[in-house]
Amino acid sequence: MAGSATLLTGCEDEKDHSGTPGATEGPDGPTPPPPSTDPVVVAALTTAATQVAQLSLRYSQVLQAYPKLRAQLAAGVKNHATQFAKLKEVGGFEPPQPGKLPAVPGTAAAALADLAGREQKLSVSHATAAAKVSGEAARWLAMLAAAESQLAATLTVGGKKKAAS
Amino acid sequence: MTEKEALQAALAGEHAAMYGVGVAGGKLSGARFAQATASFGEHRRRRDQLADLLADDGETPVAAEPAYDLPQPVTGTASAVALVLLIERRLSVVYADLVEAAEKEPVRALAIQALIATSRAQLTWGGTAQAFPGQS
Repeated sequence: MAGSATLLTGCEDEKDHSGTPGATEGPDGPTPPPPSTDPVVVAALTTAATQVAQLSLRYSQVLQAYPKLRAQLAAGVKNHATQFAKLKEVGGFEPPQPGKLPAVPGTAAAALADLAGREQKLSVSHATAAAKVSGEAARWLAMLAAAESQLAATLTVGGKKKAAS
Repeated sequence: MTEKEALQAALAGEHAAMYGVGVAGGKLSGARFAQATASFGEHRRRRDQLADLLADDGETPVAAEPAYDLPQPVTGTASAVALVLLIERRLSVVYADLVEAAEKEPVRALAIQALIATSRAQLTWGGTAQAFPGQS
């Protein structure tokens, strides 16, 4: 089709905008930007990292109780590990150990619903946190909220189908 | 990127999305057609919100192009679904850019909600959960 503009012009990766936001190019590739020293940003990122660690722990508990859910939980396990590492890198801190969690629900379906609910709550919490900061920190927190919203939807839809089988 | 530039980029993205979803919808039927119709309405709603934010700031909102180049021909259901998924993925990046560039609270709030919505929409169109939707 002959057109006058590329679909979604302006969305293409540009060399100086691709990769980690704020990163600079070093001799060995992109160098991450220095961690923020703004106490509000550090607090928001620390809280988020701790919550992600807590959720990862919950995934581990559910997997231990219901190994048959491994395939359904794989994306959440992988994505939360990536998120935790990135938040630590951006914030430049070591988050505190996650607290103790309540017992895993008594059925696989209930455990999936519990995880989906936790994902959705965290999505709302991180969207709220993103609105209170600015710049790169707001972007990381908003992307985190979007990821949690995706997982909440995936666990809700996929969980109802598969936990019953 | 300034807030105004990011707002204009998001508006341009929504113009293009409406065009692309319209083209895709023409090749879809049943539940997929209904999803495309809902998606079109959502993009139109956000287009209007973005245009209002720009106008409120004394800016002239960027106009839609008469037509857009598509990344691949849309010949049936599979290519139509793939096009909408691509649109939602690219819009996630555009809205993440807007979150980062936002200076005013209403702009940042809109960008955050739009980033979440486009990320969720990806699942409807065959996408999978990502660690950081909208990461460029």
